[in-house]
Amino acid sequence: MGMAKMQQLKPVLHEFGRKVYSTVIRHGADNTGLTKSKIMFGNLFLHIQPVKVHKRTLNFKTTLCAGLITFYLFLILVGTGVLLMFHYVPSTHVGPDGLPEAYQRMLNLRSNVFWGVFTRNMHRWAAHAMVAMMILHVFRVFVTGSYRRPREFNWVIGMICGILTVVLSYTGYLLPWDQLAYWGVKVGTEIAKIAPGGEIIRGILLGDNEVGGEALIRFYVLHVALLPTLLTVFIAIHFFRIRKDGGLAKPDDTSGDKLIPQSECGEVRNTSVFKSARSYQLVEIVKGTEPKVNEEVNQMVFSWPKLMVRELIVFVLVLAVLSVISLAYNAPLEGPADPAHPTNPSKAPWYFLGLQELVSYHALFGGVILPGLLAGLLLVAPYIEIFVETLFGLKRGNISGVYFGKERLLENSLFMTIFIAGILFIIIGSLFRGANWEFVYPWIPTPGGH
Amino acid sequence: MTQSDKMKRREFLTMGSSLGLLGVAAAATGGAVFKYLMPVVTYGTPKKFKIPKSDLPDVGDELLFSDQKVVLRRHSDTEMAALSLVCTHLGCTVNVVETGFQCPCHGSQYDIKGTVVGGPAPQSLAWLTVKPLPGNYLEIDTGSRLKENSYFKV
Repeated sequence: MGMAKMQQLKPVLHEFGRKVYSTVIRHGADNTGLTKSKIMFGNLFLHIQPVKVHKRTLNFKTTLCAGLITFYLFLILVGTGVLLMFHYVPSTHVGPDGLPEAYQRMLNLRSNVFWGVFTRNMHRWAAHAMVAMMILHVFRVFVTGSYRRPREFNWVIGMICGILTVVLSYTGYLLPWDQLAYWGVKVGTEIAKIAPGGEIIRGILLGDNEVGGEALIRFYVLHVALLPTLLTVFIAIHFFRIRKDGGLAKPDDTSGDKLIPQSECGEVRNTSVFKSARSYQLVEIVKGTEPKVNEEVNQMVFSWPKLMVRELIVFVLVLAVLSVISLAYNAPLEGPADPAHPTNPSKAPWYFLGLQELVSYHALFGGVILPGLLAGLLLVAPYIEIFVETLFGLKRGNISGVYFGKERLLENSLFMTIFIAGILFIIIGSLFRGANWEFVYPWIPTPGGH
Repeated sequence: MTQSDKMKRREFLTMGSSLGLLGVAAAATGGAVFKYLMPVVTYGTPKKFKIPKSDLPDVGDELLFSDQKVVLRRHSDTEMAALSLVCTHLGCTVNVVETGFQCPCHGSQYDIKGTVVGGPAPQSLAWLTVKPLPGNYLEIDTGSRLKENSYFKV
């Protein structure tokens, strides 16, 4: 083929390539407001977020990134979880090596599978981190009063996501079929038994009258299919409602906030014929209120690229930190499940140790009544606030978005009391309990303990 | 309010009956799923197990059955008893120690006779029914619960 022919073909190929590209990506590459908007709402994954956000949204302090990190951890858990499924069999059948198959598969990950340990580590540590970040997120939303009007119902959705997160962790840790798994589930389902209607829940969960092979299959199906699907749906509702409720909660007056300077928000070229108009700002219209034409408008910035870059950085950081932890620390694996011999002491994962501590005082009160009451109160917290305000005719207006606002001293004090008590119980259960659940000091080594 | 603002009678009936039928179907499915999931058989350790009389321990000794979570005690030449090792608090298996029994899960403590002496356990360990079977066998029922000092003739 001659050079001339090639020269002829080049513009054709270029034109063809451009056409193919435009079938996939329909926006330009300039920095006009139109393009910045199109990038956001023309993409399925980005369009759950608004085209423009308040500058406060970009500040780390506003959210502590807790909710976002919780979501990222969920994505990582789905990824590593699917990988683990390729090497897992939910069976208690004892193989030729005398080990239950599920447990044998854990050893297989360790000895045969390429980066199997790393994958399992990442799944386990991400699960722990997801519970922790979820708790931090609940903390942030509560102490900033962000669940107040119009976000009351989204708090309830969020609490359901939180409960699903914990149940996912709980069902997940039966799967290795080691001692921790067996005794955690054994004790958990015994607690269920003393709750009203508990026998039925226990029967459906275990598929038997004791923890065994049937329970493993049921927990597996719950863990890999039912619960992740439910959580995905509720996360979608949660995010959707953040949009519909007008983004993150913020106080009426944000003029005093330390926000990133306008010069850092990137230049937006205006190619509109209406040079002075800000027509794209109508995109900001969500439920109810009309767009404010005051300083508020100047505090809005395009989500692309400022917010997106920040979210990407957080994702990279989460991945990096998690990878380092997963390389450095192996996920615990105790001996194979032995119904005759609990380990001594027999401890649940940290987020259940507060509960285990409570249960060690009184099974029904500590295991059912108190946690049930607290979870119930937390679930409807915004409505309790509305009820009290209605009862006393309080008109408090918008008092959201500020940490420990003085208008919410009572609410925050109550919440902090419960929150700190919970953390104390977890610390006592984790560090101050030794063999036979006796009180020990962690700095004094106990002879012959663990 | 004009007629057109309200839901039309026909629309209401259509929507109502459709939702009603769907509700009936959902309720029936829910019930069926419940029955489908509720266990009807157990794959676990049977509640009753038997041992030959010749396996009984000597007087003053005891014999542990880990799988069944039972300890057998020979009280005298003619008397023996069976105690359950399942903690009455939340079902962990208790350890046999010098002073009696201790639960590693939440710290319940029992004396030699299974009486609660500490921790959150609500009641003493169960003493079990022992039944002689033909052919010099004894049958122990781990599902039973007798009062303390329920000894059986060998």
